[in-house]
Amino acid sequence: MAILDINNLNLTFHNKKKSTQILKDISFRVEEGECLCILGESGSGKSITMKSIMGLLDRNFEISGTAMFGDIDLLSVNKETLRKTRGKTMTMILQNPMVCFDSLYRVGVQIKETFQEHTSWSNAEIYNQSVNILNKMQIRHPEEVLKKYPHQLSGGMLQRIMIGIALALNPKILIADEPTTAIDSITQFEIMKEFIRLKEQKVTMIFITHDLGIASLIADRVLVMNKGCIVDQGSFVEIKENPTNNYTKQLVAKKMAVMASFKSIMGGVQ
Amino acid sequence: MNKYIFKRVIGIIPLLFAISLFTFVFINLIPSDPAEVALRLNKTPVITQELLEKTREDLGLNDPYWVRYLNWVTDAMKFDFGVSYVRPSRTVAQEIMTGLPNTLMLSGLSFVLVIVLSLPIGFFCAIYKDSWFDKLMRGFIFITTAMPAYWVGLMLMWIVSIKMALLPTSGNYEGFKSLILPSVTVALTYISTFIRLIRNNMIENMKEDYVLYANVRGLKQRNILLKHILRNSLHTCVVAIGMSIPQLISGTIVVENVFAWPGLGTLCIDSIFNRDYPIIQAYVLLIGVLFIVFNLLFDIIQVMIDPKLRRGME
Repeated sequence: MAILDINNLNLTFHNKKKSTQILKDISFRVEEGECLCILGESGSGKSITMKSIMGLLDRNFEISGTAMFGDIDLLSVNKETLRKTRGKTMTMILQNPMVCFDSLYRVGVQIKETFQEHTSWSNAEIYNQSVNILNKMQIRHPEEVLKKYPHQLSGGMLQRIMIGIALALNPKILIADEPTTAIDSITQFEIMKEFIRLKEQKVTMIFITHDLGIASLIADRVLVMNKGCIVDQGSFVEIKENPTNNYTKQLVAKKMAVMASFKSIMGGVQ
Repeated sequence: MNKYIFKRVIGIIPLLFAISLFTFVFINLIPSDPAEVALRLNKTPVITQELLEKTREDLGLNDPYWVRYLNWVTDAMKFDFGVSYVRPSRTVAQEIMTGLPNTLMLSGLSFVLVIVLSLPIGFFCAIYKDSWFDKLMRGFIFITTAMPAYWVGLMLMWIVSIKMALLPTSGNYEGFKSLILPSVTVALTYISTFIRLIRNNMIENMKEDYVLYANVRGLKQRNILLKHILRNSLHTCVVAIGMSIPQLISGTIVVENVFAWPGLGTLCIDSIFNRDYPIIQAYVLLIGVLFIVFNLLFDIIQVMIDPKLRRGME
């Protein structure tokens, strides 16, 4: 059963003087329990596709098409319903954890306000849940961490807290927008282990990345985007072995070339 | 934290010293003989050489500069600034204490007006950016920034007091009613500055990732605006707002004179015209100290309210 079904999504940005079409006829489905990877370079429209279905764009953007999430159309439903969906049944993880939390509030307070918005839990329940999600994310001394301000925690830790918040209310779909781009390689590896664990638990995910290596770790199905269009889709192996589209061919070839030269250099050193 | 405050308080001592020195040196650079001025102000009919010598001796003007400076500074610490040349029956401290409450009333009401008006206006300008309200306010900011306070004062006086006869033109004889026009005049300049400051700060903050993430988490728009965006914007405005307080107190000079408001500003201008050195010196020193103290105070407040800065102190 499709959790999310997007049909003919078009997005136009209106400026005072001109209009620019950003997305053209985007259509795809996300099945329950699958991990869909959206691949593409910066500016190809990956993130903005997600922002448009979540209603995070301002009035300068004009959206058309449908995005069925269960039985509601995300593109035509009223703002209040969409807001209640966000953060509860449809959650998202952003790419730069260091700046995603408000620096004036303790982490615990920010987790708490999220729960207050979507549940009717008492303060004690909220506290227990907060400790619980940090425990699940393998963060040590969760009680201490809740009292910290965001700048006192590392990027990897904040990213894990973000994942924890996103999963806390058992969302139907989790969108990860380049969650490993802004953090260092070691932490990246840790975070990817987290995502692989989620995949094993059959969490429905859309995973946005520009990194073929990361896509290879996690993707059930890959969608390649370029200049606001979907240019290719299929399983990771299909994309890698038989790219049908020219752009995908280039993307794969370049990546393979980089990998090969990396291996030869590293081999030369050792 | 206490260590930080202690360090900062110790740090203002050399500043205070510098201010007192500059005040003293600059006032003494004024090219006229204080003894002669003092005598003339007391309407002495004939100023003879002997009389001048005697006055110099009485006023301690014959001592070397450094002795005079030390005398002045040590007395100033006891809030004793000597005697006014114009009215020898009154001390400078008495003169200042007469003017200070009036000035504080004026700048106090102006400050309240500034905060009460610019905060909500700046807030709504940011939320409804580019709407007719925002455009109107931007025009208002543009115009008021270009209008000098004394001109605004005169125009208000002409329109409100003379043509419409609603409020008194000048003086402080009608209590609160006399206070309205001067404080509106003083506030006007600051209101436009603060509207712009708050508006731009909020718009900047709205683009931040923490706002996007708050939206992603499905928080209510009202909460995001008030709890996150407004609070973050105010944090950056706190220093500007704090530093405007001494500016308001000292900046009333022109407006006080336009409205004949018997505050420190009027006292200062009168003293300058009369070459009443002790009062000018005391006024300049007082304003200098106010700036230093408020600067220190708001630096400390900023550290206390910002978790990032505070961490270094804990």
